[in-house]
Amino acid sequence: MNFVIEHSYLIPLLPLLGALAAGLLGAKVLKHNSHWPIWIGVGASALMAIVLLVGMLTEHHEPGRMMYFMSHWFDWIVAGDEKTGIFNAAAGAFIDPLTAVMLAVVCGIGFLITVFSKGYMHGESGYFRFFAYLGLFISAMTILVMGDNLIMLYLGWEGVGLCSYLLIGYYYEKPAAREAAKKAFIVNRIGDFGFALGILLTFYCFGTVSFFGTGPGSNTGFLEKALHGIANPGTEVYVFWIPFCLMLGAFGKSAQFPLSVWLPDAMEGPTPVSALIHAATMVTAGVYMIVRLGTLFVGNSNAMITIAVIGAFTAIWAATIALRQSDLKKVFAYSTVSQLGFMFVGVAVLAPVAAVFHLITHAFFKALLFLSSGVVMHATGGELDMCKMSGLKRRLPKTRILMLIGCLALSGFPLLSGFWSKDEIVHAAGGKSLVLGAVMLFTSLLTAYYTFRLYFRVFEGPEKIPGGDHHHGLSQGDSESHGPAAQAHHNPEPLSMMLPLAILAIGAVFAGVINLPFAAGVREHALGHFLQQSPSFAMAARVATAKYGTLTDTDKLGLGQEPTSHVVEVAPLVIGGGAALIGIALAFVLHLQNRAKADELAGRFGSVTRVLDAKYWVDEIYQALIVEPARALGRLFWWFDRVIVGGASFMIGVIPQIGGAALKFSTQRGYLQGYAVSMLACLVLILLWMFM
Amino acid sequence: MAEMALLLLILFPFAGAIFAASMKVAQVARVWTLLISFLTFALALVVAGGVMDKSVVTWGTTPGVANPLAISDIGLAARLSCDGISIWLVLLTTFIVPLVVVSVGPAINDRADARWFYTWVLVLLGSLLGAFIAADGLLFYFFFELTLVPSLFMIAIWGGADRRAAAGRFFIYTFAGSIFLLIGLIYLAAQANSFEMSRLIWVAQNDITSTERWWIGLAFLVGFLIKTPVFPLHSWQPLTYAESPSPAAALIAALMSKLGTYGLLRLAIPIGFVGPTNNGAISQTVIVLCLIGIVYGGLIAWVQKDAVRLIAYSSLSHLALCVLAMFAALANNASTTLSLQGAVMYMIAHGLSTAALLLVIGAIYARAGTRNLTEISGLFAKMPVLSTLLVIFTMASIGLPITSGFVGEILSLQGVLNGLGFGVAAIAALGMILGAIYMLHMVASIGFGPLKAPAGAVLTDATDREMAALLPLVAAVLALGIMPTPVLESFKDEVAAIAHWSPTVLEDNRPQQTEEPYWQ
Amino acid sequence: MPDVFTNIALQHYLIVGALMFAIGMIGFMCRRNLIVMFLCSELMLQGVAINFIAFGAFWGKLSGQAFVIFILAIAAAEAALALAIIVLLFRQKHTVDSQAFRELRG
Repeated sequence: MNFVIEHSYLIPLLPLLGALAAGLLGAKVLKHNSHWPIWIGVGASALMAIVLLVGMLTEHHEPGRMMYFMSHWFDWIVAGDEKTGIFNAAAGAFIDPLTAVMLAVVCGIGFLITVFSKGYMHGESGYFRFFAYLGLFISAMTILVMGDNLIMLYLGWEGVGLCSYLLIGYYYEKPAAREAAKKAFIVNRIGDFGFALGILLTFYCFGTVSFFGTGPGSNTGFLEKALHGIANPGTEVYVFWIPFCLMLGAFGKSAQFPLSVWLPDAMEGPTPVSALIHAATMVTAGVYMIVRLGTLFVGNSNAMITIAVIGAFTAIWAATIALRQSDLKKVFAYSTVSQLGFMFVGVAVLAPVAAVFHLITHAFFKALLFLSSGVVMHATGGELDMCKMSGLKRRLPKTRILMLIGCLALSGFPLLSGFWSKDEIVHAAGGKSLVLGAVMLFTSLLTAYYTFRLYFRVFEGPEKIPGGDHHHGLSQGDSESHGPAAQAHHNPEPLSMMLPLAILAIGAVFAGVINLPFAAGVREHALGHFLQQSPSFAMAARVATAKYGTLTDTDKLGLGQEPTSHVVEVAPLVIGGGAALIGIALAFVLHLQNRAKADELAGRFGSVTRVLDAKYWVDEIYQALIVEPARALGRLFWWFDRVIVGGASFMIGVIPQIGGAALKFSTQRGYLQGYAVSMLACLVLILLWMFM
Repeated sequence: MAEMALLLLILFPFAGAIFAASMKVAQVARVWTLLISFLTFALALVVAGGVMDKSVVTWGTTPGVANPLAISDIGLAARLSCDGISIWLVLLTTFIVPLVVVSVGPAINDRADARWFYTWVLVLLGSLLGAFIAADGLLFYFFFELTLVPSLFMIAIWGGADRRAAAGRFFIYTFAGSIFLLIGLIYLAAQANSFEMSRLIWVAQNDITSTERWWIGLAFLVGFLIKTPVFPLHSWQPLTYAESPSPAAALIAALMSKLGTYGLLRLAIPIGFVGPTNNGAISQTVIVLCLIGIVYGGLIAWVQKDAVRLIAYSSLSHLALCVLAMFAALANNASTTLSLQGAVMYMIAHGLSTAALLLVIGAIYARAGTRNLTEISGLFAKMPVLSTLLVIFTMASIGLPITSGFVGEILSLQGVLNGLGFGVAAIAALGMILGAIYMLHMVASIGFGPLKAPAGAVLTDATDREMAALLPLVAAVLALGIMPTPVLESFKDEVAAIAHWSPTVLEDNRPQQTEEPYWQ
Repeated sequence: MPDVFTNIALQHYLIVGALMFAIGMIGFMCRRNLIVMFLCSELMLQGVAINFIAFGAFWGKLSGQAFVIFILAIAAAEAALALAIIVLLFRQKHTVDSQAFRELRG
């Protein structure tokens, strides 16, 4: 572990070097061996991350002691002087339990997905490009979770945004992919606008952008300054607004309403990308940010309420849209938006542990679900419309089991990972406000319903395989369907793709173990106890205690503190599990037993389904209210620029010309005598003037 | 050594230009120009070494020693000085010019008059360097104006279809602006009995009435804001960029616009806007104009069809932030150093990324025969390397971290927030969103989507010549983005001094009057 | 003989010069024939020349005469040039009316 901490720079550097190798040599030298540099780089980083996590887990733990390691790489941006405050953004790592957990998720799942991608992307013309982007992404994502100041966080943040842009636009010749990539970047950029303002305000108020400065306890980082209320004189009023600015960034990256519109479109990227970036890692960066900067947020109840409302609204809003989507990946995309809403609610109701817990379990089962739908896509020649397929279980038996595990985990089926993590959030939300709890519970029910609607439609029922024998017709123009011949003769479920899925499936089933409410092999609330040692959690807990006096047991658990009593509350578990079972049962009735009934029901609520099918017209509303007016304004400005501004400068040049022309036509008339007379007249005038 | 190099920095390109004009074969002139510009870069490195040692390298300013190159009748002398700010602009200029020379394509090389193009490039190089290292107001003005001549010829001879109109408008508009500058300069010199810059600044801050200072400040401001340009004084810019041959456009956009920002920083701000009588109303007007420019330029760039016009309007938007940061620096102590460090960094970054973008667009234009975003798309399929470079420079332009643009942008914005408050910073930061919108619009239109190009276009990927021009720019953009601290450090004290108002300190350094004033 | 006829003083020369100048000027302004106009301008020139001579004699200096020699030389050159131009103009339009050449205006 000491090696890892000493050489922490290797964690982002190795994937980056891999990406450079793949990017520069891939086209000419490596060709379809381009995955090797990435496998090596990401594999080594994953190994380091695991070593780090295990090392920190086995470290002796004393209650109340913070565990962290700081590693300074080099001075990145140092500017300003004593009067302005030194703007010091060092390139360096701050490694605490939160970072260790995030690194393990990012590198671990990242590695599994790069392994999966070899088989999945086989034969693509942009093979090396894909892997280079993937390496770059993992490098940026590790910087994001390791950075010890806001600027490093921002570097990772923008880096993953860039990779997301490049990977969504991987099939660049498809206009839809191009537009989706652009949209993702720009919507994220709107969030980054808030993030950047948050950074600027933080420096303005606290005179530093470093989370912990020279270390917790030194009062040099802004989190600690916020904890003790030390702001630059005259800037106190702005401290209130910092969380709101940063929140905008988090909402952009994590696709929360109203910046959620990019994520469903991002499914234009290759499926491994959807799994890695748009489900497991990048989109959780917003949650990570708020957890990391919890000290700023927890004391600001307005900010917390805003996050809770936005998170809950996004959760239920996206879940209702997912009810009517027929594209597999779109269902999972809206589901991801919805689950991210859960995580935000978790953060907002003082349960960051639950949020991180859900982040981890979600990473497993959502990656599993996406990759499995990638396998389906392979087998069906690029078709993802669940209305066109049915009963795939015979053709894809292994995938069916994997998908079932993923769906059960996502819907919160009792004892699987999603059950535990989702339940913690619902419980904590209910503890804060019954309405919030009820909304989250209802969303869980919807989640179970739409998940199993998908499962029953695709894998169960009468067999109907689209494109099974006529790939050509369906797969044209879709690059992700890789030559139909390859599929017809090859096993649709090769080992290199099934092995990573199996590991993810194991995670999806058992990941709940890390934070069970009771001891079972591992101690109860193990994750909470581990994260409790993170300075971010410890400080957030101190702020919460200062703000709310004594904390309830739920709050303590949520913040990773030791609860007063160790009684396991069974009721919320039963209710949560019940909601999942009801959802699954509904889906079973409507989408397996009697599909006609489901269609009839949809017809009966025609207006509701229309609204859902149109995704509440959010895209259209944006287009009409923001994009079009802005473009119109641009055109108006352009007109103004050419006609008024350009015209004004033109006029300044024209006025002397007009004067000259007027003189010319009035005096230069070509009558020789006229000239002589005017000469004489002028002479006389001059003489008169001289002698008078 | 460094002192001599400073003088040679100006003389060398001009001497080279004379020889280049006499070379009949275009290839010879090209190699000669490359050689001269590389040697100039080497000279600039020598000067940079001197600046690192002594923090400022001067020539001909030693008091009591007669200046060999002086016209004492009019108080003009070849006083040169290069400090931490100048040296970066000198390095930027000498770095970009050879790359631009490398990038000159067959469109110019195959013409019989190609040697004249190279001659004018060297003249432009010499006059830009002259302006950046002049320590004498009139000398600065002389070189400032001299840059117009080569650019005028480059546009009018090798430009696009509408080149004559563009050249005329460019010349007259910017020339008209500098008339104000000249008037202000002469008036101030009449009070100061000298054209020496430090003396001019001292006199402006101490010896003249606030009304005089108001007018002189305004005159300087107008001259430099037109050159930069800042809304609404930019009407010459889109047409000029669009009609220039791409090497000339790169030089004008990357380097000549820096004359405006450099002049603001070096002359206009200390002369007109520092200290107790700081002409607050004018400053506030400029701040408002910059804020308008950021949003206005961004929105117009978004609806452009011509990629080069898009970049022209993006420059309008970007440099408005740079100017905004300079004026934010004057607002209070808590922003001065940060703002100005950010502004200088932004100048360098903008020079690099804009030159690079224009060269890439120029390369695409040379192949496709059009820059109209509606007529080309999906070029990534045919030219992956060029398209990748386009993406990289786009990211540098919109200020992604670890590119030079980010450092300048974040520090400028921080300065703006510290100096002018949250509201102004928020409007200025809108440029981040707009930048992403219009730049990605351009990249997406050119690079991605189904392949489309006019009939007869030969879509080959980057040639060795283009790679040789563009890869050093990638390296520079990344190097400045990853290791900006030594750069920021090198001009920290200088920028702090610019916004510093302390008559008593300067009183002791009041230059001895040795020359007879010319107006007596 | 009255005094005025025997004693020719400076003012007499000046009167003649002024008359010649006035006649030339009026002629120049009233006539349209280019040759006549040219002759009129020569007349004005000579009126000025008489002034020079008269003042030269009056002050006893030679500079007046020197000027006149200059004027005569220039007038000769002028005449050659001007008449040549008039001939060329005549060839164009077969007229020497100054109105016919209005298009020569700037």
